[in-house]
Amino acid sequence: MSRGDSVMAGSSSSERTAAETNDLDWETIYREHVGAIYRLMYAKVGNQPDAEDLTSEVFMLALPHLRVAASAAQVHQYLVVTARSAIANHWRRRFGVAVTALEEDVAQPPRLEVVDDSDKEMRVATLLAQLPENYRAVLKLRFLERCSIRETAAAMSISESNAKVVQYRALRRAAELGVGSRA
Amino acid sequence: MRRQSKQVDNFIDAMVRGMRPPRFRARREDVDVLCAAVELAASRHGNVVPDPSFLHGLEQACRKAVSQSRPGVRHIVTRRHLLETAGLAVAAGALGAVGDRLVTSPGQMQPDLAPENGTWVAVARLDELTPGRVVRFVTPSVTGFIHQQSGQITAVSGVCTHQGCLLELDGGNTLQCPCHRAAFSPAGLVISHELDFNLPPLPKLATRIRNGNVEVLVAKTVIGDQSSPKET
Repeated sequence: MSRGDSVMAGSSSSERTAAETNDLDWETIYREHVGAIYRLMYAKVGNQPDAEDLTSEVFMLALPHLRVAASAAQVHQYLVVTARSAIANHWRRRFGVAVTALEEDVAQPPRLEVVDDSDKEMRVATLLAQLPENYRAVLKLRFLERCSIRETAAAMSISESNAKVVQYRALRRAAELGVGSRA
Repeated sequence: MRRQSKQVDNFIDAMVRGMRPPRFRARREDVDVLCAAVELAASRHGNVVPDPSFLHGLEQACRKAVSQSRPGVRHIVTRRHLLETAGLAVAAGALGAVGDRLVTSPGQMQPDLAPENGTWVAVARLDELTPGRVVRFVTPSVTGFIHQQSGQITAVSGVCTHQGCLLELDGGNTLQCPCHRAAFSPAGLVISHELDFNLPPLPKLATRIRNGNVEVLVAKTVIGDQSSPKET
């Protein structure tokens, strides 16, 4: 049994569930954690719609089962464990295969406050700096400047089909350097 | 290095544009590339802050779930459902609903059910698809439901994502699975189920309007008349 299980309602008949307590209890849990859970999800999926769906899934699954008398650390751990499961299921559904790197990562979930945006940007910038010039250029144009393939091809004076190939190879090389291992 | 598939291109495009990427069966050798695209997309925004309207909608949904929680029944609310129930027109606009115009799927939302060899089939008259009305349709390759809400037409598969039972439309405009009591919204979102895993939403079909008819994109069949689907 994971540590998170210990705060689930039903582990003891005498424990109260969130549904049996006043609104303030679960609202406090929600408001203290929703921002961090959302940032964690966004870091894992890279887009707002999926991050919002996964954040919703975590709270809708976890809150009715939380024993609000649990300690803050237990609540935190339970939410992270629920988030881990949601992310793993998300990628299995999205790709049709288990995503080993992602699952290994979330199998040892960081504390939520570790998801730091400035660290994330610095890490990616450092990794991109190690790429050959054309690879770095295509990823900068696409992911930082949000250029279309057509615009990227024009900026790099190559064909669109070639831009797609360079993009793919650049992502492959970036992955070899570690980009995506924390996605 | 093998040339990447069009589906990988589409996934990367969605990441670049900050959109929900399409589902597809990825090759194992492409997963690292896709994960790299995810991290690059996620690192683009310096300060990730959830949308206030989303937070408000989720809090309302959590209040309802906590107060109505029953053992064994999961109430799962997705982003779109939250926006629909909260009546947040502004947020809905960001999802593809544009004012009171009829908006169809291509170019707005990535359809989940996208056959390689598809054909457009008329399944309902536009003038009979009044707001809120849900219409069941049957073609030789697909059964589904179509409805219009706030000017947006949505078509979804009529097959439960659990074990393939055909869904039924109940009086409350909910798509009910007769086999294991799963329930979906007309937009394909999971409303409730009693299963021990996360039930996927219903796949969406691309839609368009031609000559006063609403058409859906379905797979061509070798046998069967695609031109006259049965509507019930």
